Amino acid sequence: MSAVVVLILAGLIVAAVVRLVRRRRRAAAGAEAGEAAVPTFRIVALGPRGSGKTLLLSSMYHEMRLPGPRGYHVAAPHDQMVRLSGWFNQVADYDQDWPKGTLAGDTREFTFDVRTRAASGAVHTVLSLGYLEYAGGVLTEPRPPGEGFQEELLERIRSADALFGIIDGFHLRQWFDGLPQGRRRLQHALTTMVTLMLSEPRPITFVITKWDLLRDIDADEDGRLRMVRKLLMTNPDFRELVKVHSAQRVVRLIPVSAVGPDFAGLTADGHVAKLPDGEVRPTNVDAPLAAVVPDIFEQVERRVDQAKLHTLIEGVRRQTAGGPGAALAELGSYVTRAAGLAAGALSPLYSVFVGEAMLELNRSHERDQASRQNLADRLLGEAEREIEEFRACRRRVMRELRSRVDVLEGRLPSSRLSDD
Amino acid sequence: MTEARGWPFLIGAGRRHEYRTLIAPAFLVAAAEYGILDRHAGELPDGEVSVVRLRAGGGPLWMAYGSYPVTAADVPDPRDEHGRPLQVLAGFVCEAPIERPDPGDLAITRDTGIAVYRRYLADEDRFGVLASEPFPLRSAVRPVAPAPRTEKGGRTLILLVLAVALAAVVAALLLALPGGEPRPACSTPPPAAGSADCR
Repeated sequence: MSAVVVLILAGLIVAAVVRLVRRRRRAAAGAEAGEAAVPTFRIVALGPRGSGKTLLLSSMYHEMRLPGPRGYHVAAPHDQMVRLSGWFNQVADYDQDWPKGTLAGDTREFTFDVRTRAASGAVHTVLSLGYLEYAGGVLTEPRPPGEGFQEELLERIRSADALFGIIDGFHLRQWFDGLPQGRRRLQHALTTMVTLMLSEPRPITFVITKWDLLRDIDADEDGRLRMVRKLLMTNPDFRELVKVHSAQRVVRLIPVSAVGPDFAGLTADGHVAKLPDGEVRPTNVDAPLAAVVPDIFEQVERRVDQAKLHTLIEGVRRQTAGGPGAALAELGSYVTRAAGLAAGALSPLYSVFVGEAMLELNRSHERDQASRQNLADRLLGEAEREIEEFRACRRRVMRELRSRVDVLEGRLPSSRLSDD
Repeated sequence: MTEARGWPFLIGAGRRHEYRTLIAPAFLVAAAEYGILDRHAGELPDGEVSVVRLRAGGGPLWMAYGSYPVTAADVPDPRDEHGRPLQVLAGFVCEAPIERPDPGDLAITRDTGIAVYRRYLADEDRFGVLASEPFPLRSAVRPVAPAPRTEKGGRTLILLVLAVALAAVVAALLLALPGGEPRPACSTPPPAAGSADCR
């Protein structure tokens, strides 16, 4: 008798646990479905301490936060916007020091939505970007036992969609000036970066920060870049990486300055200092993103679409379980047709539409076939227009990003490393 | 006034090298666990103090620290190679929850820390980590609470799961075995009606 009671008790507990686990899985699946609406590309900038990762990030945001001459802009959550603007304002203020270096404990990911305005006036988010902010020494130096950030960073690098290799213009300058520490530091950073990048099949772009510190190496900007490229190519690891990756895609070397050509200079003792009356005019800070985003978008586009399509159809199946079979048939066939036409990421609006359409169709299952057909036609027509607008927006952003790189390449042909 | 003790720690960046722990409690150094300080120490506005719980299990720990700009009075030319201002994070680790860090305790850790920091800057490449010994705290701390509820709850849950698993196994065995009533020995021919069934 007691065995039966125990068995019943155990059975009840097991049933409760199974129910709880299933509910959590369903909730997780729902969350994933929401996230799949717009893809998030994760980018990690590899670079040693002081190489300018944080300033590049804040300057990039500052430059791209307004549409300006572009047809797109980036938006960040409010707390991140405040922090990024704080860094940029501190940099731009002559009376303030440069920002202090990033602490290992302050590792965090910044997220940006890339947005554009459609002809209808609606603003669409076409993709999201995740950019990891971390202390560069975590990558290139031994870390205290028990900290754990280095392992986490390596995992982030492995799961990133694209990598930036940050080359410190200050160390380049020291190398050109014949200072051995510049060459030593740069070689060490290159070896670390190349080792990590060589095994990664993701798009990579090299970014030379503090480009303004190299302005007097050569009056001609492309001539200057050619000199830097030649110097970097003397590193066998770097040369090998460019060769290996060039088989898949173009590898670029983009010179940027977070502050522009007239804001800072080297003091007599070799420090970087702000110049009186200097004006911040960031140079090329938007180009690294323009170089990698279209590339990674092409790679994930189909995968994102398929996942989204699958999720939508599953959602419809679940909602219609036991309900009108006609609703499932109408929506299922439409979703398949629309996705076939779109062959691109589906708009978040589309998910909303499917939800609304399902409600309407479920409500109307009592109605006659003709009115249901009318309702379905109207909803499907609206969705088609929304999808088309979204796709047009996305095409325009990708076209502008590619065009930005083309302009850069036209001005600085040496930025294309793959030709070597 | 309490009898609590605190172990000084210091985190600082060099002119060339990254922020890292330079002074850590001797017991964390011995256990090769002092990176826990780097993990939990984040940027603070100058003059502010933060109290952080470092860990719950394995002996709960708390730390109180502040961020201090390194001045020309501390070291000549207090900038790193990129021209950025140097700063240190100094404070103490305690085995009890720190309710109100005493400025005097923090001043002790900052002053002893700066002396060590000078030595570090003189030879960044070869400086390891310095093990610190405890000093009596003036800071207000709470007596150590009993084991956190989550751990207790976790242990209870494990016991419950074990009990249920055991019950399930026992039940399964009971079901698999012949019935609970003693079974009479069967022989051929079958027993008469009304006797125990041997099927």
